[in-house]
Amino acid sequence: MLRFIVTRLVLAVVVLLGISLIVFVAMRMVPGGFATAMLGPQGAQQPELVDQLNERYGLNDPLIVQYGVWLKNALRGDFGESLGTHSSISHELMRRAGVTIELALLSTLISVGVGVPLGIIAAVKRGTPTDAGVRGLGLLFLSIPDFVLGTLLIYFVSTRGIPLPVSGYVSLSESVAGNLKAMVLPVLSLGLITTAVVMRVTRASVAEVLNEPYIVTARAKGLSPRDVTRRHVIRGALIPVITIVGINVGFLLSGAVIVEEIFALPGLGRYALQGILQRDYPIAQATVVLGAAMFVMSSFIVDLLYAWVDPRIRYQ
Amino acid sequence: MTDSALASPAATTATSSTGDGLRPRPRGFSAFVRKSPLGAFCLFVILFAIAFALIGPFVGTGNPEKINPLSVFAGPSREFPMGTDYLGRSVMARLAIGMRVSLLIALLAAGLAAVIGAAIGLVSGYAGGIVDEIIGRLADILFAFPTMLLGLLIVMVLEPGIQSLVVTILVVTLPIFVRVARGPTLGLKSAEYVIAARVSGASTRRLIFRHILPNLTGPLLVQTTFSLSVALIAEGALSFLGLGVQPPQPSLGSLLRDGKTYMELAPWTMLFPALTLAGIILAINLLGDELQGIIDPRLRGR
Repeated sequence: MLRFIVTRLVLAVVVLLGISLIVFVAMRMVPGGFATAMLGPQGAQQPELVDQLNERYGLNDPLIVQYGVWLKNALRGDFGESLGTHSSISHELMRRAGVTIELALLSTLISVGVGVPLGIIAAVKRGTPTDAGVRGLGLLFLSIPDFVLGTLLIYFVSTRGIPLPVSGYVSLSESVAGNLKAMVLPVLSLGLITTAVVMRVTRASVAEVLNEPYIVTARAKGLSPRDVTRRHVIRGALIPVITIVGINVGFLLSGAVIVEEIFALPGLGRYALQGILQRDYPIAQATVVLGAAMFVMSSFIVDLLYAWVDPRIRYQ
Repeated sequence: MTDSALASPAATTATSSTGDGLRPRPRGFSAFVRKSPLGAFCLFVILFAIAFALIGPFVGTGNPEKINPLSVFAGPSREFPMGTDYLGRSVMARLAIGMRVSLLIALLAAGLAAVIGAAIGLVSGYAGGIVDEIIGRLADILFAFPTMLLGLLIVMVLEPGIQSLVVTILVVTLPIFVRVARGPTLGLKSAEYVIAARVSGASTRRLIFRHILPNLTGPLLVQTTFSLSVALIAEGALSFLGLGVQPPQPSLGSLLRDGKTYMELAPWTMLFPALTLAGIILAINLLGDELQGIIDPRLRGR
């Protein structure tokens, strides 16, 4: 088991280093470059200013040295400061992480809490109208992208006079009820799609396990259908479900960019978008790497869960 | 499985559902319609959408560029079946043009990803060893980028526009094709019929193109279908954020962006692009599901 964890961990670190290097090099390839972003188009015309700037930020060093410096600081939690406001990026990341994590957690909670039971029911009742209904609904929600759903929800809520905020954020410390109210629409915009995904995967996985010989054995030895489902089917069908929940984290991070923008939530996604739109390199760099890191971390946890659920994987 | 594989490699996916191989199975489009009426209907919807995108502006939807100052935000009427936008332009005509842009980007990007990704996957699976290992790790790295963040990064380097949209979609969907092509190639390269062909002196090129690739067309086709919907969503999302197709050129995403701004005044400017986008994606997903069911009956209804 320890060897398994270490191998996976090394892989995760390699992937993360690759990502941060790609992001770093990409940032240096941006047209106009650092000088234009800092000094404006006119300032970038003056060689002395550019030289000064390059000297100050170490931009004359070889790329790999610059990357090393950035990486060293990043590992200590220092992502530099914003070019526009000169505020500390790490500070801003800390302030905003909570919003995005709450959004992702609530969406995951809904997708597992609703998607898994519905998927199991559909699989057990294969071929019945219940199954067809669940599947149809799943495919429908899967096909409405988050930005379309978010827009439709805002329209629906505002024309029907439903008292839910369509914009802005209330922190948990201010008001728990206000916070949850503000999160309803964003979580629905993101969560319905992931619920549909989890439901489909659960259904397929359970349907496959139901055909396994060991389920027939369990039935034949006289276990009630409920016990068979509870004790044998669900455990056997778990792996694909865990995978998809892990993969959904990546989707949620992408979705956070859009949903936070639509509903004006001060989270990491909106910060990333702001960094890109304002050509604020350090922000863009920090948020993209952080987003990828969160996804890699969730994949790593998924790998560990696998090994825990299915001992065969540990010894491969 | 091995028997049918030995008999006719290209037909394994096609005959596996009948199994006996005695009756010649009906092939082609009529077989598809009979086997999956729903899939055929979805294909019809998609073709209709493409036809509307191509000829829409020429048949009674009005001129997409024409500004009508006297009928700004006019509701749906005989003259403007889907109403007009903030400049009094026909929403229906702009929808047709927007669909043309969105569909073109999606088809181009998903098609490129399928060809390039399949090629990489084939080489990776066939070569094995260190090549396979390196390609696998690179694919992992691409996989680890959340779509939107990768899109933002590419937009920042390449400037917003159609070019960066295509690159983004390509990079996002590429690793999936690599995996789809690589897996079966690993198994097929040591399948008996491939070994038999190699022993009888077939070149590597012939082995790959004649004996392995035809067995991948099914999964690749299904993946291409799903990638089309991924592509439409990515285009829509980036254009919705103002990072994709730039005005005055419309796309489904940018139409929705404009529509959202004015949705309380003129809901039709938002609703038509929103429902069109969701409708096309639904048709594509359903078609993909049906194709998957035909190719691999075990997965039916996944």
